[in-house]
Amino acid sequence: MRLRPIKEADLPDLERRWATDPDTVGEHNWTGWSNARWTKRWQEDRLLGERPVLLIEVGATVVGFVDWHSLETGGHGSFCWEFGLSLWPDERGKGYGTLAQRQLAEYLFAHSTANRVQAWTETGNIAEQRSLEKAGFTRESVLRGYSFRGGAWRDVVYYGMLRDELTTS
Amino acid sequence: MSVPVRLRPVVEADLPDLERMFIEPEQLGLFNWSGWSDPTRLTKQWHEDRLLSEEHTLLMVDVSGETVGFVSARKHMTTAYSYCYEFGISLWTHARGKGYGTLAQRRLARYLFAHSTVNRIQAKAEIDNIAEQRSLEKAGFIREAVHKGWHFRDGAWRDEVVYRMCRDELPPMTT
Repeated sequence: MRLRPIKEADLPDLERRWATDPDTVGEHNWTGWSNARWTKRWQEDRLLGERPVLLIEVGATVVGFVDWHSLETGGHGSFCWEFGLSLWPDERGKGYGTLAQRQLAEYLFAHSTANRVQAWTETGNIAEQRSLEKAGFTRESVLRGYSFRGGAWRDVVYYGMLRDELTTS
Repeated sequence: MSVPVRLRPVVEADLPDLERMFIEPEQLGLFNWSGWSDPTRLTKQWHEDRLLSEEHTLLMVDVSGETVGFVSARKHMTTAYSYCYEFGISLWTHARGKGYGTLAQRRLARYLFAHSTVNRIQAKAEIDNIAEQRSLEKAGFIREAVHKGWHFRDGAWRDEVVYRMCRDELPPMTT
């Protein structure tokens, strides 16, 4: 399994998934129709700019993607990374998410000076919580009423990994 | 206790005080200072939008007509379409330890819930900043989380305590 940038040939499938079927992104990621602009964003910066996206490939099959962005946490370059994961519905429960999230943490710590990588998921998304824990992330907190989805404000669980935890986990 | 703590927009006469803060770190206090930065930043922003944009609001804190510091709130996107407010406070050194921060933060919460549809307001305090943690608790905020290695200040990554108030947790205003 590996993470790789999006190629032009990947775009039709990504556009189709977002334009046709909410089930593609899964209950916990679906926040209504939106113009995902995969192609436009790809043309702009190959989706490797400020909000990078890497596809998760198992063998020659794309099974989903990871994306991330930086959060400013203080002055003068104090920041951390926050990432998300999306697996196609029929590729879930196979351990791909765990591996992908682990690889992403390794990648981010290798290529930036960040001290912290974090992710959150709804309290109801047990599969993702288990996956983050298996990938070596530490459950840190529950934030109440944080994210709005499906007509309600939802509680979310925050997971973090520090640079020195990458080697020990 | 009935201290008349009031929030108000920044006027031109406040700008020198705000600029001074960035060149006299003792005014900012140990936990807010992360090195020198452009002291004219807020002045420039004030000329653009009076520091009252939808993204970022900065209000001065007055006690009995005297200005003692400011609060500022910023939109924090939590999903593509939803957000909460994250705020901070800075009181001039001589005005600390008198409970003004508690009242100002509660007023700010009340203000934000009154004039926006947000469900949640949050603030972060460095784990060693006990005074701010106490102040947030007295203002009715709930200690929710410690995020490890969050913030870089004075040579080290610091743990940060997250406080929140959801709309249904807003305490009644007594003063």
